[in-house]
Amino acid sequence: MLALWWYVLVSPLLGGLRLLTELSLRLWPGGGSIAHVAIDPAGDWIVRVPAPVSVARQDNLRQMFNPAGRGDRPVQVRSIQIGLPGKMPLFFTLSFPLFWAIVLAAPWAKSSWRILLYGTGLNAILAVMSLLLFTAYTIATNLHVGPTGFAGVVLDGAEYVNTNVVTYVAPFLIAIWLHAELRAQIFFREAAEAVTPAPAQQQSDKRRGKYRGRR
Amino acid sequence: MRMGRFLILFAVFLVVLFGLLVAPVSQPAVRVFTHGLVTFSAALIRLFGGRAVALGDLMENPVSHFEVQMANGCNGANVTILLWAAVLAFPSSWRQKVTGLAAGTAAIHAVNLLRFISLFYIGQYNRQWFDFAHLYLWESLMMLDTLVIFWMWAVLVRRSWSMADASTQ
Repeated sequence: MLALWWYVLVSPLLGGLRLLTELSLRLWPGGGSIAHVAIDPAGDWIVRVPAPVSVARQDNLRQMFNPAGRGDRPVQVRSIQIGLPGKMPLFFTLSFPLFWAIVLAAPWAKSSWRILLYGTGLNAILAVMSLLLFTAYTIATNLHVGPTGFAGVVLDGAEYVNTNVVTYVAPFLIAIWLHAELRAQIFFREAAEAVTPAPAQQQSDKRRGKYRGRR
Repeated sequence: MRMGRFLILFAVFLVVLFGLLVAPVSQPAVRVFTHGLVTFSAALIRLFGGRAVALGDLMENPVSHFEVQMANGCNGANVTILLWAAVLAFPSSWRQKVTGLAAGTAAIHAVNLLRFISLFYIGQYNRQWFDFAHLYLWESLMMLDTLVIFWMWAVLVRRSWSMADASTQ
């Protein structure tokens, strides 16, 4: 599945991610006519986002865009455009082949098509959210407009999880959540059925209480 | 309810453990651990006749001067935390948890050493293959490895329940 993704599916997935990201940014307050996502010939992404009021009012940002202090009125920053390395959007599409591989390898059932559909949708939402968080973090660090102190540590932590954990973990968690049979195999059924005779299991289930195996 | 409790505990442990990992106070320990992994990897390569020296979090081939860095996400800490959160959240005895944490951590880092050393050689051979193996293939395999370790441990835990139940009949 990774090979199929790398050689065939990357382009359509990146196209879909670009479209969804731009739509999400346009829904953002003030983003209607400003938000734009483009891909340059080198594969890097150019993202223009509306500047949140709290960020646009920061003095260091205004000074950055008007270092000489020209004019009487302060510079009004309405949008921020930033370049993102192309490998990051590509990376955020990795969750799709991982999810598809897990579901296709799991026991096939009538509901598998529905699981594939819902899971793909959830992965798409997560990919867009990951890309938006990465964009916000890149802007915050490049323009020095991010929070400091504890909030800064939280932002750093969120970025670490976003770029090192979510893309790899989400497909597994989504598959386990949507696929009842797979979930049962991992968490509940297999070992108990293999070892315990059926009549004894009924009694032991009563004693074991809330963590007993799912039948 | 069982599943819900597991998921809630799993999320709580994840937040706490990742919070500890990225907290500034933990960074010196994380750095020492990362440097230790690089030093051990270089020693392993030399043991088998290869050429590698450790320079902090960098491993270098002294002949070609190719370097590979073990960055913060490459030291296996992220998948180790995932395994720990899952094991701690899963209903089992403390002895089973400790066994699972120790054996699982050892297994993850054994695979991670293999990953790091293989990337060192793939990078010297082909840069494109290195990017693919580094960002996509090995990371996915590490995650799969973690899931399989947890799965095997969970099966053993449940088997011990069943055996205990059967022996009381």
